[in-house]
Amino acid sequence: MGLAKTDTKKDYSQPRPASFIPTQGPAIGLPSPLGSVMSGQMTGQHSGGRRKKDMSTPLLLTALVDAFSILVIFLLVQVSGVPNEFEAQDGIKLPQASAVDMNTDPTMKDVFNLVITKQGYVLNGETLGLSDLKARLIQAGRETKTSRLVIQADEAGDFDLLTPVLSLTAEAGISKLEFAVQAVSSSTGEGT
Amino acid sequence: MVSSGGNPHARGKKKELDFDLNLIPAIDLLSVCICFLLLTAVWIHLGSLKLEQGTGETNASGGVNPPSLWIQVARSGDLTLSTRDLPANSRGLKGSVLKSQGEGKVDREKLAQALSLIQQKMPSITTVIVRPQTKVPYGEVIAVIDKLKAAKVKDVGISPET
Repeated sequence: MGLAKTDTKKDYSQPRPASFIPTQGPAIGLPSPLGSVMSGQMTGQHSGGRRKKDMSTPLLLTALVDAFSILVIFLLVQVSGVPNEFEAQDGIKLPQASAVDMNTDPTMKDVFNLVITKQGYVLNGETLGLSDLKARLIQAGRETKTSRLVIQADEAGDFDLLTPVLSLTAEAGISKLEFAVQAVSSSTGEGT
Repeated sequence: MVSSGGNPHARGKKKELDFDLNLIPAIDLLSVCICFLLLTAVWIHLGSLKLEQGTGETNASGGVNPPSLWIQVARSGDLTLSTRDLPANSRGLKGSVLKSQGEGKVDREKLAQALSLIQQKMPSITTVIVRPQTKVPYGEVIAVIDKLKAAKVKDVGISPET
């Protein structure tokens, strides 16, 4: 057969490098039965009596662990796991802003999410006409001490779509408005 | 002098001091950590710009209007700055125009500089009203409000032209 028996008399007491060498099996000390096959140290008809070429390649796992550690630290530091208080509507590109106040009043628990599109007004996932929206905003105005009205609109859309909403909020007595934006740092927010 | 064979504990077979640090579990753990962080990370941070709007009851409360700066946003991106209700002895702005940077984009740097200058010359102005004209892109209005918030303007309001 092409596969020769493994060299069971190999001296494993020799010091090994810190990197993982497949020919020497698991790090617990026992040799892998396939170690010589994996390393290409085969004897037999193909060797032809010539000196065996050592094909084992040390895999430097220390560098890999270093890279993974740096990745983990970067992700832990750079990326926040705090979820957003409201979800952006699909198909709407929010404008970018840097002077965003991320601190929200914990007493303002309920969020009224008003999405303004060319197709109409969507309040908390429910598409409404202007008259229905007015009724809902008046109702929200009564609860406004514990609720927030967050307005989402596409950055390329006309501001005219918001004009009737501003009138309605004034009629409903809602004075505190919030315009949803994509928060960016001040250096990247310039000129975008 | 200490001879090499003088240590009584070193008798018999020499103890192997070289050992392998098993890195495979560490790599597994780090891989799981990276996958978890990548999946749970929030890449887009959403926030909001808070505005205080005047309601129908505001004017009824009466009183003298505070000194204010009105910024008219044109569709071309030009900004027109005017002051109102300033004290009698102070000079204000009447229709100072900040040209756009083209393609209907508001020149944010010029606006930031103008706001800084106004805050130095007229510190009594703490109220700014943004007046977008018709067909002005929403993003440009938000850009103006963003600059006002960045300049620490206390009260920012919107009064769209109809």
